[in-house]
Amino acid sequence: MKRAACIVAVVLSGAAPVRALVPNATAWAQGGIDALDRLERSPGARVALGASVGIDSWQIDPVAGIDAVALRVTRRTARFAMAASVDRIQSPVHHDRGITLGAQLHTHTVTAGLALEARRLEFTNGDHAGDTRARAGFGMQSGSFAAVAVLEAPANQRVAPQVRIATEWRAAGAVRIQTQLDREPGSPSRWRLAAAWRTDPITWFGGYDNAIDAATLGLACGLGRCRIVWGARAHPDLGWSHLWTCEWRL
Amino acid sequence: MSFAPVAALAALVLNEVLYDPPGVDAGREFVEILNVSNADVPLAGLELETGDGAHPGVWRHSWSGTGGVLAPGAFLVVGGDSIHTPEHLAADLQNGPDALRLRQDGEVLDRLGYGALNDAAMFEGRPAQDVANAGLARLPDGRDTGDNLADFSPAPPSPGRRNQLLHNLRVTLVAPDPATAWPGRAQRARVTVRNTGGETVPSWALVAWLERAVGEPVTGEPVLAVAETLATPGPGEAIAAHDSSVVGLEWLGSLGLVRIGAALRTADDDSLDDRASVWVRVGPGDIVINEILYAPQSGAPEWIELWNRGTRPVRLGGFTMADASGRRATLRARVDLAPGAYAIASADSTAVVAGIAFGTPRIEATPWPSLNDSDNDAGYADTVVLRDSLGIVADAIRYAAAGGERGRSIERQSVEPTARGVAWVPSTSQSGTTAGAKNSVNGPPRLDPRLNLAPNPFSPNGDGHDDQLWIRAEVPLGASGFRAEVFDLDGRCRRRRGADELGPGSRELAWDGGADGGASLPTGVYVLRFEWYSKSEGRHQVRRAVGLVRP
Repeated sequence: MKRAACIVAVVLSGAAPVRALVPNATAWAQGGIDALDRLERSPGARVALGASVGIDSWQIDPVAGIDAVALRVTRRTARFAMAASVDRIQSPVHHDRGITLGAQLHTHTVTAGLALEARRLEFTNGDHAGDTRARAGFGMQSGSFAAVAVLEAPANQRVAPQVRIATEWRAAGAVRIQTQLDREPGSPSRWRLAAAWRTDPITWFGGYDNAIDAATLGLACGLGRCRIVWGARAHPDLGWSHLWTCEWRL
Repeated sequence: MSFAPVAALAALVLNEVLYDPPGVDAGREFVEILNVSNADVPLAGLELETGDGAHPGVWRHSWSGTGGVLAPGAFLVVGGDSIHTPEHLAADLQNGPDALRLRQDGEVLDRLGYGALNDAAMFEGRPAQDVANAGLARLPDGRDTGDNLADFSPAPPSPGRRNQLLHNLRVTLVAPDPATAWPGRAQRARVTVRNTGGETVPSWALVAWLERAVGEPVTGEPVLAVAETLATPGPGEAIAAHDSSVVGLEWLGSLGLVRIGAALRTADDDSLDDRASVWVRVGPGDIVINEILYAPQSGAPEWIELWNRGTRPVRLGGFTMADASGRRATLRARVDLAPGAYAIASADSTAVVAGIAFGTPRIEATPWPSLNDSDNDAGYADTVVLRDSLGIVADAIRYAAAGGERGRSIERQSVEPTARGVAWVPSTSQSGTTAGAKNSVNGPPRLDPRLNLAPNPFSPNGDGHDDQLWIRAEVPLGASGFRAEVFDLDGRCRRRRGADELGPGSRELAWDGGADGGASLPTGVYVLRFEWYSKSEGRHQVRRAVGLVRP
């Protein structure tokens, strides 16, 4: 309890560190589009009915020795949905732990939710830093079209929020097209484009991220209640970065 | 500091003499004079004379004081040309039986006779014993009972220092095992504080530090960066005479060479033994232990392949190589090992090494540290520690022999160790070895930039401490230039820190945590990418995680 209190105290007082969130393999394979799922990251995102557990394993940069793991749970009922995740990013010079909680109210066409994330970074020289972030999300769905918007800002600083807007269009029963635009104060706009093609039991993914001129690809395979997803990004300078996700529907 | 001599007869006494040092006497003899009073004593009129035992009553002038004073408790050393002192003897001292006397304004202050002397005017009480290869010293300092035999004893020479220490702590430092000095692991050195004085030291304190070497030393000792303080425990408890206390120092290992030092913060009788330092290397320097044949075919020699991964030729003569037993072999090499070149070290440089690449230099290392070919209880067969001519570890590895095949070497899988050390794998070469050539299994690249980052993490907060990340690298031979960039974990390039087309050589850059355009990057971990390119071998890169901490 004392340690938890310490973490909260630190994360509320420190300067905001750089964001490094562990995506899931589906988002990673689709150019990094992360606003259309993962309720705790995008509180307006619509999640599947029922409960699920997922584990993500990310080789961020195997040459530099940086990797990450995450564990997350999601539950959705007819009116309410919630999600939580814990993750850990580690390198030879630090480790970074995060916990994120999100909740959402939804109807058939509209969603709205809030999420809170707390992180703590500890460096090998004994220094540490922390961050808390709040997110508000809104979503709507109409026929084969869905859109989600996320506002995100540090909880302890008065700064303009980061905005993410994502859209999805189901072009045919088996094909989805997704886009996402990120606007962050002081940074150029970032947009991503992705497509998914379902050929049971495998779904194929491809994507593009203009900020780093990187192509992504991946595939998902459903086996009963289990779904395994692999995503990879080909960075023009840093090479391949792989991410695996395993999800169970409870 | 004060002395309590027994029956002191004068303010100045002859406290120590070395008339027969080991080896050549000339220029290395000395006489030490001590002020045992509580007041300054003027040196003007002071005279040192020597008496020849064969000619009693004949005294020769040896030195005279001209000016200045000798403070209470202070030593004055009058020595030969090789003794570091401003006061020099006019003539060499004779071996015994002989005598010395100290006079001031015609009055004899002190006499010392040594050896079989008959003239009572040449000694006090009884003559001291005649010693060879050692000094004659009053023990304790200043003791003067009027009996040379009782007052003087043989002792190691200590010109200008106490003969017998009352309150003295000696600091020694033991480095961690170089074969397990891996990055990301806690490194531990052991400081021993030993009371070599005659009385209990009631309290003491230590200060310890770490200094990082800037690049690899070209000649002589490495250049060191600003020292970082290491944590030490609070004031130590009392240490009885001849007892000792041990203090552990701990720091996180990162690739490169560091010097660990420790020093007493407590004044004692002898400051010369109050500090100690050791070199600790994590990962190899320029010379890498690259391949080992520990189980040769019958009649063939064991050998170790060395590889120069640096950009400068390295003279291997004077290097030493030791196994787990600590037995050191000296490398007898007359030629320099060129950058990128391999050499084979073995017990006999003329013995036939099967499959060795044509032109590979052979180096004799004797006495050869016989390499074990079966694992011990700790799970490894042997260690090999390579040291340069200064005794600094150049590379240190440990290997396991489980599953090894006679006549098949083991090869190094990566140049730099991970937190679990360096992996060694059996050679997949058809001949069983790749002596003098690139390894068969994921061998280290022929080009290696030797990227060195320090301090990492760094904290650009303007306090003058760790404000910049120093990026030091060597663009390898054959490369035409380099490029250095910093990426965030999202993959965006945030800072292009350097690039040139100047060919091979050393590069040093500093990064203050800023982004292109001048903004300050926030706290976090970034990826530093160092890329170099050559026309013949294309592009290569190494990447490292870099920690940036802002308040």
